[in-house]
Amino acid sequence: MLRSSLFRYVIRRVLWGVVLLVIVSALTFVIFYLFPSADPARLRAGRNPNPAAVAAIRHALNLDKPIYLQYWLYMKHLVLHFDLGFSYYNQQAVGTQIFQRLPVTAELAFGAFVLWMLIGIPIGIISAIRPRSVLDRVTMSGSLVAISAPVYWLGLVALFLFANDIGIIHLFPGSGSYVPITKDPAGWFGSMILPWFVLAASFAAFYARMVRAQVRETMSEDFIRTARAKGLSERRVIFRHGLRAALTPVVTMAGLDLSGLLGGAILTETVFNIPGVGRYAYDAIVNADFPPIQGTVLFSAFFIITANIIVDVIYAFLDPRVRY
Amino acid sequence: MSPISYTNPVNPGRSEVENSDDLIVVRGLTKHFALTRGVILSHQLGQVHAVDDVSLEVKRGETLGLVGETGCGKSTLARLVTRLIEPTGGKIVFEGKDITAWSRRQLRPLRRDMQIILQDPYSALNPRRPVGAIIGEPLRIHKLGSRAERRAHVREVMEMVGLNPEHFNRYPYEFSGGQRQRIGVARAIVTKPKLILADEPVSALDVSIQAQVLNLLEDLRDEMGLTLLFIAHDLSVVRHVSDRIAVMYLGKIVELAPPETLCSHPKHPYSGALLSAVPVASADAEEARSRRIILHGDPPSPVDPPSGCRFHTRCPKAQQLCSEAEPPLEPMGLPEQLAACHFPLTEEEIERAILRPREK
Amino acid sequence: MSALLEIHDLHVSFRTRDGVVHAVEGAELSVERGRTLGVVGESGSGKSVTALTVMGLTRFPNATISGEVMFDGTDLVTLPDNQMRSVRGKRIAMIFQDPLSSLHPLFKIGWQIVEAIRTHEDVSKANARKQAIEALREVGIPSPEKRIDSYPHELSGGMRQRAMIAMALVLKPDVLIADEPTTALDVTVQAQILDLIRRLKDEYQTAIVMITHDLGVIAELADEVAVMYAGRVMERTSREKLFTVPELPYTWGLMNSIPRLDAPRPGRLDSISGLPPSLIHLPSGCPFHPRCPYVMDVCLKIEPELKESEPGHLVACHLAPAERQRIGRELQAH
Repeated sequence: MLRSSLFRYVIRRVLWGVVLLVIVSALTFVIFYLFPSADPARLRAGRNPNPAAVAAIRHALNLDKPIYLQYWLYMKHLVLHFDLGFSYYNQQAVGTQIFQRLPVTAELAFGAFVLWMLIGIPIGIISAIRPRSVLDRVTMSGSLVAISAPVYWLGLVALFLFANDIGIIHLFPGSGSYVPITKDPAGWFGSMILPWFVLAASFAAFYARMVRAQVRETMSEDFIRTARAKGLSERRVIFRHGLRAALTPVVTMAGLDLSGLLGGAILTETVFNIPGVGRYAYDAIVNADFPPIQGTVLFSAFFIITANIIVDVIYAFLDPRVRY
Repeated sequence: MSPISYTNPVNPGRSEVENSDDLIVVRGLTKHFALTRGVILSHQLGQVHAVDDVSLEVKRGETLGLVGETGCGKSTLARLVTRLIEPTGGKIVFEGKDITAWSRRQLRPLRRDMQIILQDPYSALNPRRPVGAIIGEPLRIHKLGSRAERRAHVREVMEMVGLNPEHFNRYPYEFSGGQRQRIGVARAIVTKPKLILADEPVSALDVSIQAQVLNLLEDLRDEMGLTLLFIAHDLSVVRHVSDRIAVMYLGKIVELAPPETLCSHPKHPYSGALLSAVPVASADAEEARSRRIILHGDPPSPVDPPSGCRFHTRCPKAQQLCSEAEPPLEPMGLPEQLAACHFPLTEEEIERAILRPREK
Repeated sequence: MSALLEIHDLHVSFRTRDGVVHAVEGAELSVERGRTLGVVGESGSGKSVTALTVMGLTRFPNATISGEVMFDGTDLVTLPDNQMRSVRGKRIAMIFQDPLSSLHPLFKIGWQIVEAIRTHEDVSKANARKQAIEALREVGIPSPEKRIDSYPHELSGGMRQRAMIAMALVLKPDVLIADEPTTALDVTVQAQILDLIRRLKDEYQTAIVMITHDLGVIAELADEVAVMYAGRVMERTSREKLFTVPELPYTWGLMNSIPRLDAPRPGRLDSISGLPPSLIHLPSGCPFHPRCPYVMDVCLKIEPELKESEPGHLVACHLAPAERQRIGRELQAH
């Protein structure tokens, strides 16, 4: 029976997810057309556009049709052919571009994820177990800095300090030095270190604080007192009883944060010139290039919605009190 | 007493005066909470029969005690009577007017006359507001009196409940549990209501404080002529304050009687079990315990109540008839006593099991 | 027969931001095998802190503990933590008030009981599981082989408390400390649980320390009673004597303030005036003096010692014993 209620829960969520994606796509459409940053046809037309050329381009791009018709055409192509359209700017297929760039973004996202979990969680735990110690105070104040600093600022500072070409200490490859892992693993690794740390920084800080708060709260619960009363060692009380309860919400949050990054870590990719989905989106925005924007937005929304469903299901496995 | 006038606005409505002594009359009151499950279209799995077909009258100025265990529906019943939740069926008549289907707007002026005191003094008060504001809020909501008049009245009420009026501007965290409960009481009486619903008002308090708050409630009730709906799971406390006690089990009233009658001549086996279960603080406790009626197992789920008499699965006197036919609540035993039972307790059984109040 | 557990002159205080909290100020208690000691008091009386200190669960950095807790010849106060751990849960077990929050919500109850067993005994998981099922059966949980795989929230309040009791007693401890075990339960369930505790005590001759604010529970279960106020034991005697001739004004106050089913309704309850004392700024002399209707000058200056008033009856009060006995007798005659 559990299986069927789980199954129905997932189906229900998936269906709502589809509805959500449709709404997201419609909203993006509307926003883009209500607040265009520039006329894409004019941008494409080159330096001295003559009105006839612009009008021709408009027609070719379907920009002269009413908005709902454009939307309908777009959705038709998407659903029937998985076709995300073509860039107004350079006629490249949006879908192809995204899929090519996805692995790069994934490398960045997963690397940062591993890093921030390995740094943030242990620090949070230790700070919680030794409250008000020197370590606790240092890490909590330091985390405030890491959270407050904008990621692009951190990125620029990192390059300024450590980049091979422009930095003070020549430690790591500078911006734009990304190479695919298949071509040059060592080079790839070197080029990703700074971006990983920069991207992970604010997350690690945030997670350290959150874990600290969760662990402290959990350790004051009644069932911890019972565990101690049973004669368990403090280590077991903390790691088996305490963390199990404290980290459950952290796991689901981490899933959501990771999925958000998969849609593209725009700022980090831009600062370090990494050819991921985020960079693609940034370039498209600058060029008022609607199809890639719509494409990347939909992709990002897809990842987040899927991740939401997955973490909710995982949470229900982790916490038996949650029912579908 | 105070400069604020409390004339009730005229409320047109069908007048159903059954007996002008009755403040509240309910007939066939029912509340079922739906349990749903479903993918797109949710379908009903079942219903929680929180309150089922309850009828009773509450006389003006009386204190009606509602007692029963977890899941019996006493809190739900009280909230239904004061229209804090919507009934699934039945009728509620307040002061002769049928308020069952009244909209929230129509009910609003009535809220002045119905107030509530809650169980947990630590979560019942908004921690971000000073107590003067908390107590004065009902006055503000019903637009009673000017600001200065409200202030004066709040101070007066604070004194009535035994709080120092100078502490007008303090925050709840600065008060002890018992004092916070007094703040809750003050808030409830500030509009001079006709009816107060007290939902486990002393359960969370220490014994010595409990006595203080009970005394306070009784004094206020006598002074202000309040009608009190007093809910508690502690039978000794309910007995102390009530004029009549309704014993509830799984959404139904199983016995309704004045306290002395209920406590020395209960008719329903469940009442008997409740009475004998209360540990008595006296040297005879050992003896009392040996005669106790022990019920087995846990109360059944209100989602799937047993057929016939709902108590039959745990009743020491249950017979075939009990699982088939539900006994109606009808007069039996002493005057003013009603019970719903096919095989009520006999005097002999009561003798055996219950410690009677000693004659003075 | 010397007592199994004896607490002498126990002082426990905690340094907090608001000042030093004097939670326990000289507690004197003892309990013997197969007997029940009832500890009565309201919030702030120090009863829970005393119990936790016996278990060694108050050894925080900000705590100061002095005095003796003699258990089977060993002083638990000075016992190093690693040795204390083999006492805790195995020889002295404790159950708490709210079983829903006191059991781990994310582990099955069987797992939690098995853990308790395997912490102290070198047995296989299968063996421990069998023991756990038996323990659940003994405390009256139906179909224990199935219930063993339930989560705490899947059981009713009464079942949960039974499961906690099973977990505490599975290793047959010498002492069971029960901190308000029935306060959160319905009265009929409370009756069942008290009955269960009594039965298990008789069968295994466990010494029980029953902490409660409910004099009714004391009357039913306790053999000896200690009344605590502001961290001190102020009256100590047999249950019989407590309910026939109580000799402490605070005890009189408590007895008067409970509405009783077995007595005619009083018009008003005689409550104890005032509020419980602050444990940071304790009153001078006798801690009860600000609320005592029998207060005398000496009560404000000198703290009364716990002295024998009659054989087997210890009281800490400046009133003359004869006077106290007279008042106590009169009170209970009503």
